[in-house]
Amino acid sequence: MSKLTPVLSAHWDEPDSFTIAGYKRHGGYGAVTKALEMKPDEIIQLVKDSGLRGRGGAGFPTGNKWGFIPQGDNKEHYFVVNADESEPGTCKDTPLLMANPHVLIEGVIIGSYAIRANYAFIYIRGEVTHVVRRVQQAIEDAYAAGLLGKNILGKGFDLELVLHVGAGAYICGEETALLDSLEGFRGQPRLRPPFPAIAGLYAKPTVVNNVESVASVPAIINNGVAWFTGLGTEKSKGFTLYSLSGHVNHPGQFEAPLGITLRELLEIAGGVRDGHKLKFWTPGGSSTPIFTDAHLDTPLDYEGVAAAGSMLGTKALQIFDETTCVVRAVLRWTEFYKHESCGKCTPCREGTWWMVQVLRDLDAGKGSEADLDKLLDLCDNIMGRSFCALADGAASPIISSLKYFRQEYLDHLSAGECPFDPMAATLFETTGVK
Amino acid sequence: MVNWEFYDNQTVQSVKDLVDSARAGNPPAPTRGPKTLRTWKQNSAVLAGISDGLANEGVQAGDATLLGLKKAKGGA
Repeated sequence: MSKLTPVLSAHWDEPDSFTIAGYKRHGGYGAVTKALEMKPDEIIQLVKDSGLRGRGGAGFPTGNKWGFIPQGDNKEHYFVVNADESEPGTCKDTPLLMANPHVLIEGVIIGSYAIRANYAFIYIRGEVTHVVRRVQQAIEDAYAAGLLGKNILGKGFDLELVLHVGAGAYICGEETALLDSLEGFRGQPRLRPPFPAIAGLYAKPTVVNNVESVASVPAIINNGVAWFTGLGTEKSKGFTLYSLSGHVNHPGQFEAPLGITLRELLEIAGGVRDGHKLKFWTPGGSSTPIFTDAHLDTPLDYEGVAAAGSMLGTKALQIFDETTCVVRAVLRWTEFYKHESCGKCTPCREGTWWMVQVLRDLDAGKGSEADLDKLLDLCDNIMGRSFCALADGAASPIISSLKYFRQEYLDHLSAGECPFDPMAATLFETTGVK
Repeated sequence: MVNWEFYDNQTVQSVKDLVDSARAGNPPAPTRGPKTLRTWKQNSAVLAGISDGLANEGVQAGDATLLGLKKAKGGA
């Protein structure tokens, strides 16, 4: 009936999907056997040919990233998985790891073999204890099955996999801050260049990949490049997990080929909650510029979303209906960025603080129209002026909401208060709807 | 979340009940997690890398996680 293509999620409905037995029942760890027969360069070429792009937000081709690791340099190489999922609205890696941590481990073995790394790390968010348990157990079981450790499957390849539990800082999802945190320092982004591929963890060549990117690799090895490129659009190949949340009747995870539209996804998810209509939405978490109902048919692939002025990001589609105050929503996001700004770069540290002050006034109906320009000026002054993209992410919702909903900001000023009833936007409250 | 364990889809009333029962010493089980809620100290040990062997308890995925798969299989 639908365009959905469950690959990663194909066996999540089996109660033991997270165990090694459950994974092996469906051919799990078959890709490792295959991959270890190949030459490492062949695997890199295969992933390049598949067109797999990073699923963590930036969409950088995974195979190219692997190819950047200098070979024959007599240095240790490291393979690091970014499982520090913390973007507001994003909820794909956490359920994936809870339901099937082994697919990630299989991807890690293949990736490490390809870039010739003998040490791999999974940096996981520490605020999800049960997911940590599952991954811990999965690593233990993989060691016991001879899939990790010395001489994997008798093929002469050694790999030690370490699970590192982060302390819950948003900034540690940024790859260089993650590496600093992994080394035991305060998580703050590094200046680039040098890029992690040259000087990453402990100043050694390092690959940092998102969970979903790595987890997609075994399926590509098993089914082949042609199968993978047969899905998706011209420049955005394959399938991915879309997470719908907010004012939809049935929020959840939907695995579909890249290029599906929100209209199609909403149809599958039972539509915007009954009696309401779509007002605005984020295509990939809070740091991607918001869209409105005019973008319902925008293909959700890397190019389609970028052409419409936003970013695919993490495919976290947060849906807001007409009861939501856009100023309030943007204020909440901005408060988040202010809280999570690591403070290394002055424009972001100070700028996000001022944005919150201005937005609080605007939300309360205080301030003047000149404040809107001041906000935009602030955004101009922090975007692109810091080491990492956190500041850019903080500016995105403000700039895009002013672009589409400037009148609503003005309505706050003329009314002298927020014209919305926040209770009406909650899922459990139906009384008091204005 | 309580002690970093999932309590999904809370309402004002269910949170009140959750807090009341936790204070009375009998909190309900997490929606996606072990059969009984572990203490903060116990969970800190897990996060520090000391396994408590409870990975096999609890559901493999929540309803929202499985919705897409269900729809793909033609279910409701």
